[in-house]
Amino acid sequence: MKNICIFVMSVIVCFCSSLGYGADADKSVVENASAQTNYGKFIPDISLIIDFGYLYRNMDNGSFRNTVIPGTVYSSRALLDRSIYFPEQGAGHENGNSAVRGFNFNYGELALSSAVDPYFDLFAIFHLQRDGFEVEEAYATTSSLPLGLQVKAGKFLSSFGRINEQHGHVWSFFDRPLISMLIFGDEGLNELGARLTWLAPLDFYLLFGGEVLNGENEQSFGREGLKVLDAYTLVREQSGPALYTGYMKTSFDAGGWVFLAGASFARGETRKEYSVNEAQMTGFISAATMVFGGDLTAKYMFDSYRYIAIQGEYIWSVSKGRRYSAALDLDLTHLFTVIESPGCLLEQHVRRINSGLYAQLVAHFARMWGAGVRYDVLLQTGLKKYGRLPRYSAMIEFTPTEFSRLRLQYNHDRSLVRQYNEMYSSRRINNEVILEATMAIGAHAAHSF
Amino acid sequence: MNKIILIFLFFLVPVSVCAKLKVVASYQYIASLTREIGGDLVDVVALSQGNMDPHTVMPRPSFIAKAARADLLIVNGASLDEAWISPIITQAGNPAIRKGGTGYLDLSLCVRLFEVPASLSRAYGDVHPEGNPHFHLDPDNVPAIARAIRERLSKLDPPHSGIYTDHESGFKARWMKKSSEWSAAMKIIAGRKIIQYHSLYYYFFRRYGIETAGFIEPLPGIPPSSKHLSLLVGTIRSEKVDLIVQDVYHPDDAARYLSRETGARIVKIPHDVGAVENAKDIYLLFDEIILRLTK
Ligand SMILES: [Zn+2]
Repeated sequence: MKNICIFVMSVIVCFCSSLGYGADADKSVVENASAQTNYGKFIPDISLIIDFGYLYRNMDNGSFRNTVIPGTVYSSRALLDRSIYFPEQGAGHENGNSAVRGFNFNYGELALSSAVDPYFDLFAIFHLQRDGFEVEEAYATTSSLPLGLQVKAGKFLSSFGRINEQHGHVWSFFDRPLISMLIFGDEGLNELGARLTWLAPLDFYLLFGGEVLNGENEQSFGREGLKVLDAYTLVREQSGPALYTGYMKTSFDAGGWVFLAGASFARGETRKEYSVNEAQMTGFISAATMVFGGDLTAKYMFDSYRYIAIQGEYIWSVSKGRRYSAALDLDLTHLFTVIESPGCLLEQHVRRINSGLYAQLVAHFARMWGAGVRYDVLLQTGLKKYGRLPRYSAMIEFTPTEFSRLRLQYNHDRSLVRQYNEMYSSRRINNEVILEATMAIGAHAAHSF
Repeated sequence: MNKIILIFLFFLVPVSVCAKLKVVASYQYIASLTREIGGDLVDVVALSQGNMDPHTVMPRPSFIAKAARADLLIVNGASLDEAWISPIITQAGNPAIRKGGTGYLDLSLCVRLFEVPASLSRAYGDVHPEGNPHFHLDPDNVPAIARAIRERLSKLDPPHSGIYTDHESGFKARWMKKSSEWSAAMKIIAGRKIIQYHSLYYYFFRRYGIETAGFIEPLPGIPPSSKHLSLLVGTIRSEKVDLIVQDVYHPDDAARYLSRETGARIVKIPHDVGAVENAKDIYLLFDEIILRLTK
């Protein structure tokens, strides 16, 4: 509660001072109006990115659909069903990124942005699928807060870690790293909320940020309640924001190298229903989850077009709480009707640790050509018996201009498991080759580090 | 809890009451020119390196830290630095240097731009929509740029406006003298035809009456194909081109091929302060370009 108070107060303090400041800024805009001639356009910057490709995989579509990456917070026995990754996979499974063998439409991204007025900028990014159109991000940022403070509010990708905030088309590899997938899901930590950042007034880059978020992540966070027969509340529904993050990023230049390092923390409620193998069991988890992350990027420019970039990220999470499930083979929804016989309800303590990392090296060795390798590993997951679950990736890419890119990626994926039942599962090795084309039209995308 | 916030805010209040004006420039030539006008009264840093392609600067996080504390951000404009400067402005959270703020100066607005495309499409390559943005390479444009910088420095720092005006008139006198020297030196190659990689030296060659017969890149931002190069060989022969002007950042294999095929001489010239070792300031940049062309 205290945390919220500080956050709200600082936002109010900043906003008030920004209004005072705004009076001056306004005048200067008027004075400069004659000098600034290229502001006739009030149409927002619009850009469209389309990503499509071709996939070869040694597993057929059905077998792939039945594999899972073991373990999230839900249960020590339950495996994370792949349908959580690709929501439409059960039926119209063709919707995901490189979901099927053959041609795939991965996604489209329509982005609009513009200054709202002297105080705010607005951004909206829509995620297009073959038969879906969703708001991926829609947020406002302040542009005239003093003291290096900035507020972002709306729906946005959390700044936790390095890769989470980036959109897929700027990643060096086609797919999300396993650990990000395991802890934050296929769409990353993308939340409704507000963020405050403070850029320290120093000669080097040092940024502190904090986010207050609803906390409705497909993998790690949720704020649902569990009520039985509309009367007996087992777990209260979280009424307000249930997820807080904090992070620090710093950067320095040293002898041609540019380093960017970050440390991130998130703490949220994990109150979610879960289901395993659809018909078999339904349960509810009520836990608190903490996630820690560290990331490092280093880039060396040989000249204007050639560089090498090293990037790595480590994420560790722990969830502690209780799990409610139906004893024996009862479905928890059935349990709601037989709650009078308390023997049917299993309440267990759960403590789950997930961790993993990825490390990648990318060399842009010619103006139009780049290549890279990535080692991706889950160190701690739900199923201890498999130990480390690695994936090895290599890619080569051709970028004729900054608006188009063709990429060929190979994955040797040893992170998948086929679940036959609660007790028995077996490991599956997946080899896949992905050819990906990414094209962008419209407003010139901002360059990023 | 309130006390802690107050103490926290107290430390954030900038203590620089009588400090120098902090100027951040997107390119080195802007920084050099600003030093001429501002002298000891300003602290100037340039973000990009002089030997890099000005179109594809990688924005470093350290640029954000510099921009955050700047009183004035001076950009080239005309979409040359837009793509890498705009994320810096957004992330710096410094209201003064936002577009339209008193601390934002776009130099492209104080000169006339040429080569404005009649129609815009990326099918024609990465065209500069507002016109050719490499206007600082016309020595006759430089006094106008210096004046724009002086006006803005005076506005931000009125007590010293007299000094800035003195600096500017001193600069202008020296520049005119140098400019007539350069004109005299360039007479040797006036009327000649050249090949350049990108329309980087358009304003420079226009000023000295030198015609560009062709470009090594077939379209802006697109590297040459062998077919395009063989066409260029024909152009060089038929138009009697004897100079291939090469900038410092593009690969020079195409220029070397053309030179081998046609006997035309390759001249590597700087485009910005710091692009080559001798181009240490805005005067020496032009000294070096002209020395290398007329050698
Ligand atoms: Zn250009």
